[in-house]
Amino acid sequence: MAVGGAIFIVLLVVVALLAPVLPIRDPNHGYYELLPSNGAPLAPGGTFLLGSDPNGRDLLSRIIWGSRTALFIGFVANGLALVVGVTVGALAGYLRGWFETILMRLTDIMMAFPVLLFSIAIISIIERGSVLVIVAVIALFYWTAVARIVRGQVLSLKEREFVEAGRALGGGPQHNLLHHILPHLVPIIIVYGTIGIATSISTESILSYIGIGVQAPTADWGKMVADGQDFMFLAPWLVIFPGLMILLTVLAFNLIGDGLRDALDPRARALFRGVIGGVAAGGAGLAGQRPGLDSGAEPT
Amino acid sequence: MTAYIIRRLLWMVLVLFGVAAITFVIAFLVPGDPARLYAGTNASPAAVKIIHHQLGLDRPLWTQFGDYMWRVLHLDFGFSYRYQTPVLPAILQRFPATAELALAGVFFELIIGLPIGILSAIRPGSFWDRATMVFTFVALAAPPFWLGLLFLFFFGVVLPVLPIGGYGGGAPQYLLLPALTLGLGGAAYYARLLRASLLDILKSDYVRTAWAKGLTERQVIQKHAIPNALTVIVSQLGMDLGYFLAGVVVIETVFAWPGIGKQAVDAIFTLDIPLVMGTVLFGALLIVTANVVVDISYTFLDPRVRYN
Amino acid sequence: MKRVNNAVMAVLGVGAIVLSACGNSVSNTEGQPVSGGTLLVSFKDDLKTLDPAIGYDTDSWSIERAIYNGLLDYKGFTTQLQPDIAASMPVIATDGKTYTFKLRKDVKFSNGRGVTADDFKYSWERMLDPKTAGPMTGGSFWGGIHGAQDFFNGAATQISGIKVVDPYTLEVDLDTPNQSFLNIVAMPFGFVIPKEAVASAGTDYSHKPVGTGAFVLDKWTPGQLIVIKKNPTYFGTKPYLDEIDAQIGVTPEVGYLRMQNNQMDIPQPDLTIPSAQYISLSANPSYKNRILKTPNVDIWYLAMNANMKPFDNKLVRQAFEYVVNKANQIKILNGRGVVNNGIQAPPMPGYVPNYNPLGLDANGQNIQKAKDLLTQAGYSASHPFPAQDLVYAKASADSDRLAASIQQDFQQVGVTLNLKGLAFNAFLDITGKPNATALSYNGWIQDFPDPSDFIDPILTCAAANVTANGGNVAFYCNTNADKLADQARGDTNAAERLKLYQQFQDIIVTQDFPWVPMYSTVETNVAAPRVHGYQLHPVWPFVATSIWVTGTAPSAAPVSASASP
Repeated sequence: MAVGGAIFIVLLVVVALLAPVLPIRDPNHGYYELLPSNGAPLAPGGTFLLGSDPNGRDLLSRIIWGSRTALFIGFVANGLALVVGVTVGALAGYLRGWFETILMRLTDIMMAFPVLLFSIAIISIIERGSVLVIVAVIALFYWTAVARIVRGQVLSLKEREFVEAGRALGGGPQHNLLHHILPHLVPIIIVYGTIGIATSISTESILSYIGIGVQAPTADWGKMVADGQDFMFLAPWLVIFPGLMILLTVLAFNLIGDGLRDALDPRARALFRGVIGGVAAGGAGLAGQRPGLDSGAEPT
Repeated sequence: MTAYIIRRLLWMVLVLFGVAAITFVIAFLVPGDPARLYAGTNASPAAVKIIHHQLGLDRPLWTQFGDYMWRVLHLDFGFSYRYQTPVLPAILQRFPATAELALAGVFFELIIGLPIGILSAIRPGSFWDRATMVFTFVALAAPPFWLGLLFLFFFGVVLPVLPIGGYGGGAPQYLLLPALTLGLGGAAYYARLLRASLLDILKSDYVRTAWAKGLTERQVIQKHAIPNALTVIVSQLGMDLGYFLAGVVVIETVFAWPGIGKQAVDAIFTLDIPLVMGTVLFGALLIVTANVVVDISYTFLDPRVRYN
Repeated sequence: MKRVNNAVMAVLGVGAIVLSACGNSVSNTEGQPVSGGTLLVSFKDDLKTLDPAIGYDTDSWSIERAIYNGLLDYKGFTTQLQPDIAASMPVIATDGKTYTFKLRKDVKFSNGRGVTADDFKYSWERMLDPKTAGPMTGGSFWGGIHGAQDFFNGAATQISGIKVVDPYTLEVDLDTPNQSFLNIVAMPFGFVIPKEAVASAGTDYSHKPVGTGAFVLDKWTPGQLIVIKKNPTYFGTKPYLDEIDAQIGVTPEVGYLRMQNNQMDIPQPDLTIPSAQYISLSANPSYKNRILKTPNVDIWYLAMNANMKPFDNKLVRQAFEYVVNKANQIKILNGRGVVNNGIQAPPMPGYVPNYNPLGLDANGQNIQKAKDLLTQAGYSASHPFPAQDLVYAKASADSDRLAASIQQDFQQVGVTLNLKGLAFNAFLDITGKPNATALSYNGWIQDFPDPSDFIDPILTCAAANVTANGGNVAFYCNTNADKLADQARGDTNAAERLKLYQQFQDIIVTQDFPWVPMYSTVETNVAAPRVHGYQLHPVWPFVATSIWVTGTAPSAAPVSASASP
């Protein structure tokens, strides 16, 4: 299943990257002249393979260009969360002390927020529809979950022999972190990062659906569902196709993440156990989607 | 243990203080004069000025912050521009609808999630198990707003056997679709969680001992495995409140369910920031309380929990 | 009314007369009226208020109209004024500045107390009091009453121009003659309310209204339901309906679907049918002949702020006049509108049909001319036109679609527009500030059927002065044009007055170019088959008094069931 997911994502990324040179219509050009005089959207088949929206825009083009929006936000927001989360988490776990205390209290506070509501509030207050703001808000709530996981991992790694050995050989904290601990974090970062992309994409789609995410006329799947829902009873394709793309993309990333976890790091199971609640309330609460799901949750 | 409980309560106060401080800062980033929003879009500058003073917006920032915290402490969450009423009553008025939806959502999570989780754990690798895995992956990946729309389309328009959104005084036929949409993702989640913990437990020593004692499969599962696995679910339910509030916001928007989530989303589009921030605070209070309650009750449920 | 936030929000319509002439309306007046029954309507959002001093939106007005009265009202479904609480039309002094109203003596508030002239003085002063923070404070409509400005400034504790001569005689003095003053009196802001109800409601009169109208508020469950019931002491003709239930939180889209499932009588009565529903209903044999249509008296335009670059260059503003494909906009509105190249809307008196002084094509464009003008203005490939934000209010997908179509039009002349959709409040805020918004997409819909309403509040210097809170979002100010408006306002010769307004229009469209006028819309509504006598009013967003119902009530509801005794 993970392989299927990977194939889907590779295809999606390739198509997204090639969108400007593919022989498809401009996603933002309205072919008003092709619409009937009552402005009804055109059905799939005929001129437009997947039909048109009520602006006479090609749904297929918009779905393809929408993948760029989704992937961009997914990768960047999640990347940002990982960089910040791993750095802070690793330092907290390694240095302990006041730094760790502050970090843990901060994540407590972040996890107490009804995250979606709060993101909506922040975005609508700062600047609606700015992609960077969306990215920042997703990352803001996500990094704390990452930091918690990484901190936990570092705590257990620190006690292990090779770090002890490094310390005995006179390696400084920086040396130890970079050469002995970070490499062991790589599998978990990859696994977690993959699932995080899915979470980021689904969060972004919710924000755009609610109307404070990506703004017109940029093609975006969540926004397309929102725009299409009024027409759902007349033109169901406007809702079905973009929503299906969100489902498939999120599904594919989750499958890959699941597969990677089994392949890369069987120990991840143990790791995920302890933090699953935190993830659900933090990163996943944001999107209503729960990453880091694992086969052996046992509260400790 | 008493020390632990006190620590958790202190933690709760600290977190809520942090939440309130952050909401205050955010509310201050609001572009434009709150007094102008309060007065309404067509109010005269004279009226705006009076209200500006009435709201105390001409005082120093730290005074306003102290005042804000003091009011929050007394459960005064501000005044809604849109509804021209205090925020907390406006939230409490809508809260029963949200609570009803959330409880029904939890009901669907458990009624769907637990049986399929148990059944697939009993026969890992079977067709049923594989089908369950597919279901759980799809249900977790489906955007909730999209799923809700498809349900509405199918049950409300194609068939049509259920009302097309709305509250209907909370009647069951209105509640069914939003609750199902809300619960489906969670059902998938709990199914996998339960399956995983059951599998672990079935491999554990004491279950092997039970087998060795000659108990039947049914007895082992009913008496040993399920009760243990359920503790996982119970703790998780409390932790999931944040997730639930997020889900509720989306589902209420799709189904026009008049709860606090929809109210807050509407408030954003009328720039009723006090109402939005009040809802955020209210949600935080619920989440933190639930976490503390779960933590504390867990110490009674499972003596293995370490108090740190 | 004010600035409206998108096509769907446009609601007030003029012209029952025009309608019957073009045979475009079905008034659903079949059969003999029967009394009794409950009408089920729906609103997307909860009403903001039922305080007539505050409400300035069609939702509030829909219900306010049913529970209150003013001195004057429109006769039937026309734009002609007639006495309401007034016993007769007022006597107007020859200088056109003093109005004397005689009141009926049989009018009672629903609390049982009789209405006197004191109540009008109280209601109007409260409505204009800055402490009430209503939209009329300092505004242009009522500001012409003698002493109103002193009252706004706090220099006076009452308005000297509103005089109670005796309990049933009210005199109003204006500073200058105003031909639309009677229309202003008929606005909901002029409705009468009892002092004691305001006092006993504390800060919440908005939710505890007491009026004189055909209906009284029975129950208001915020966010869910508003119930109004027939007023047994109403002084006018009793309505047929016993009760109107307004469900809250039902989007128009859902409302129309419910109507087709017999779960709703009239969805969102104050808004035009949403695009998707209009397309399906007009293809549905049971409904297509029941759709009511009436021209909205509205104008949709791009406002260009001449105080800001690059619109300080008149050539740029002129070039923009030729770019927008107005026919595409109409298509997005499902054909429910007409291209409009002027500033008045059909069928407002003074509207010039087929007005096209710039010689635009049928789409409202002349792309080559626009390119030439931009070249003349100094823009070229090497010196491209700076990208502009197109600021618009968004309440539905319609607003995004309309804005996107304009964006595409401007690409043709090498102008990049960035779409900036804002919540309605934020939109009003930013476009109302001088030098904050260069280019915005606006709508204006009538407050009352007089052409002054399309000029005084939106295109005069006074309205550009931000302290007056005008709707002049182009911040257009031409003192010569202003003189025409001043002259027209008090002109008693109707034909001459309309000429002056047309001259004003010529200045806007052919000389100064503060706007790109685009289109005016047509209002559409439909009711369930069991609803009879439903008509669209030229001024009011919703009139329930002519409606009767037959057959079984919609099965919507546990809500309405529990609301019934």
